[in-house]
Amino acid sequence: MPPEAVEPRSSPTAAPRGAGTSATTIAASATRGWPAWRAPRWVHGRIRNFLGATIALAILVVLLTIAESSFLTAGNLKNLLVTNATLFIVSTGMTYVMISAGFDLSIGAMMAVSEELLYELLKNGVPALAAIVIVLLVGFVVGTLLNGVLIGVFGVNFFVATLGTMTLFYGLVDVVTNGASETITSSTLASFGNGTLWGVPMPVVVVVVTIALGGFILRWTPFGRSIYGTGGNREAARLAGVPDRLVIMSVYGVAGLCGALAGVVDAGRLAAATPTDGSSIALVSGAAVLLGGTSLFGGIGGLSGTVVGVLVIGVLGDGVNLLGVSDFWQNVVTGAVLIGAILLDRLQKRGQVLH
Amino acid sequence: MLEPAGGVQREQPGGRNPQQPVLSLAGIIKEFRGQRVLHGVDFELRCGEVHALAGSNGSGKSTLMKVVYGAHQPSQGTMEVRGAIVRFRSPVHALRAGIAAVPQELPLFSRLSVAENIFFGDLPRRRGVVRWRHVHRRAMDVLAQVDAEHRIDPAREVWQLDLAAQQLVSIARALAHGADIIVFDEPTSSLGTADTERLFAVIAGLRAEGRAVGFISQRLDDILAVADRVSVLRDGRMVGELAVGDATTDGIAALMVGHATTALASRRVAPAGSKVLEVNRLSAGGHLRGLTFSVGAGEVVGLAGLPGSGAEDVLPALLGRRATTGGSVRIRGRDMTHSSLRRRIRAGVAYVSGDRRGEGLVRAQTVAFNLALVLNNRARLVPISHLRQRRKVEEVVSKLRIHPADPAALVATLSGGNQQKVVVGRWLLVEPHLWLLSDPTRGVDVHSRAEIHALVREQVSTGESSALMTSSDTRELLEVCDRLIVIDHGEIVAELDPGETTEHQVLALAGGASSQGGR
Repeated sequence: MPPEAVEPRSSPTAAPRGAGTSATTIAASATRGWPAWRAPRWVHGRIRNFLGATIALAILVVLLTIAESSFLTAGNLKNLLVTNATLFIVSTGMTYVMISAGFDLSIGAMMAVSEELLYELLKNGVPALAAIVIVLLVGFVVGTLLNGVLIGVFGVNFFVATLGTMTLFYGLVDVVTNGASETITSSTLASFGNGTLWGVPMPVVVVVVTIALGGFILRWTPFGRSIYGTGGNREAARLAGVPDRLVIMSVYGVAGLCGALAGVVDAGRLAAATPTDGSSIALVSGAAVLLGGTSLFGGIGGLSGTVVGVLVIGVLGDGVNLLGVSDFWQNVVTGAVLIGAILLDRLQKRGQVLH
Repeated sequence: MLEPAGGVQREQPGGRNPQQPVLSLAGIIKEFRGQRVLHGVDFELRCGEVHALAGSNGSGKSTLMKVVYGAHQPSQGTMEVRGAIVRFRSPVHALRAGIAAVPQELPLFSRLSVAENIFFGDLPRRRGVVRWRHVHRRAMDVLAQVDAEHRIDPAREVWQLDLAAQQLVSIARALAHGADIIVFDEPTSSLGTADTERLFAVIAGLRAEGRAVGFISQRLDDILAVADRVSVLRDGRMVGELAVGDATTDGIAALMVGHATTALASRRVAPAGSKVLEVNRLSAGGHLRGLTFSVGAGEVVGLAGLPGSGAEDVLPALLGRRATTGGSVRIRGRDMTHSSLRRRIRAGVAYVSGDRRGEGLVRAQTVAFNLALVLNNRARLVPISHLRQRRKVEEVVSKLRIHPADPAALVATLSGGNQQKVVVGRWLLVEPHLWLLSDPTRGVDVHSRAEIHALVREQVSTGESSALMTSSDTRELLEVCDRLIVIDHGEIVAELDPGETTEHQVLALAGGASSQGGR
């Protein structure tokens, strides 16, 4: 090995040897001073990535069960899942985007757009099922061609691109609706939001199907694996023949599709198209995905973690509600749990020797 | 240091005794994590003299120069500037003592103006407020010192300038900060001939003003053209010092390599079968100028050349990563001149880079994931048979003796050698026909290196495939290749049989020995 290959990159401001604390001591204390936390041996595989969130969820469930007898009842749990159905669906799309090392701020705006589109289609006599299919297709195509092309082909920063499309989408919705909600009267759509299938609420059925399909694609298809490759190291993936642009475009298509689907579910549940719907869901779902062990830098993560992440946030909200605490506290607690879980994750990474 | 009137704390550089070293290093030892890179080196710079430092990759010359300009602190040894012992904390600290560096990666602020870059850190101010008009006027004066006042507009932002002009701005910056010891680190590696000559004129001007100049280069003809004296470093030790009048490229190359080397024992002559790669008059701007060569099945061909010679541009051009401006590329008989990277990979190209972090690995993922990366490189929704894939992956892990033999291990926890085996191994799953190897064993331990070499030879010996390889280590090319193509100034200057070639012959040829009369 040529000696130059082992030189550490020296920064011009590195402290000198022998002058007070040396650079090496500082570097050493940065890695050794903090406790490195290791997951116990019996914790296997993927769950290591979201162990913090799993522990948080378990603690929350135990505490709430003790504190509030109505928590662990079928009715409340069903209610919890239905309330968080849109968050589950949106977070599925967000997981795809974040594994590809991106973020989609416009995913909530896509909800508002699709609700509005759904309303217009139904008003003009399009059959409900056809309208739903059209809305989903539009979500996928718009996501691919707008966010996807901007980010994947033109290399626009994902934050800037989706901030732009988010603003654009909400603006368009406001132009069309003048900012007013519209009531949707369609029995098909209503059953989509409030009906049941074999006793299971429809929104929950949609969530299960979405996550199952999304998880399968991510784990069992070359497309899914290519998302991890592109997100983890786009250049390496490209040099291995991965069609990186196509992958990034499709990922934002999936996000658009999930946003549209969440819009359909919400429109069905509330029997209305709300122009401000989804305005905060992008950041909340980002937090859920992060809690679930998917990295902001891409390349790792998965839907099982996202499910846990969403549940943590959902249970928190539900608990705050049951205990009669002000809703505002929910964000405070969510933020604290997010920071704690991610800190735990960092400490665990410290325990590994990386070359 | 900026104000000529009143601000001068040092005597004028020209006024000193030219024989007195202005900077001298004695017994410099530098270790990185226990590994010794410099073994007690002496080095000095004198006023009005250009002192070149030659040495091959890994000889420690960059490390030594970094010690001089404060980017590294020596583990042992002393350093004197104008007779006073100094110990620099940082390049900024060294700059205050009058030592500036013009490194390969120019640390200019690309979105700031030329003038602001020149005076950065010491902008002329009045009561704390920057005097912008003054800055621009003074920038013109400094640019005039490097003969660039007509070429470079001080109001321009630096990113708008070409590399040669940026280099001049770096020099101007050094002068503006009052540096009279200036160290150039491979300054010509990315310059064309005209820019190189202009740079040499500027360096000659600095010498004439009585400044001391250090000059590192692998280009031996550049050293002969610009330096007064040349010191040669080999494996962290100073092995010789020559006056340029007495030196030849061949003599310097021999010192760089050491006298012990002889031609390696001749290897079997590979039967060059059908042509796997045919390159015809391939050009890429000024970097490649009409290269014509071919690689036959069963053959490993090496590309040798110094940084900036164009040798490192060939593989990107063959991959389709670098735009070409003329000529054609045929892979297994098919014209692929304008094909995309993906098409070429489908046609059987495998690319292995020594840059594992940037071009090789998905570091967040496992060994198995990284090995299966090529196999899964399509955006398809057809289910993968994880079982079959795991079997293939395990085969590769055991065949290449990847340690630990655990496909589920995170790839970042492996040693460099094992990581590189993963980068090579992923292509074994698809049976490529043309291996493009870019410095394939960079930073890899000796053992893994030999294993990777053996693997390449084994793959090629089936007679179905072939390999084209570049390396920062000439010895590696001589060991592994059946044929060696030497490139300089974007052209093929020699084709050698490694069995009858010594390292210093290659270095001399790559360093411009063949074009010695040209400059």
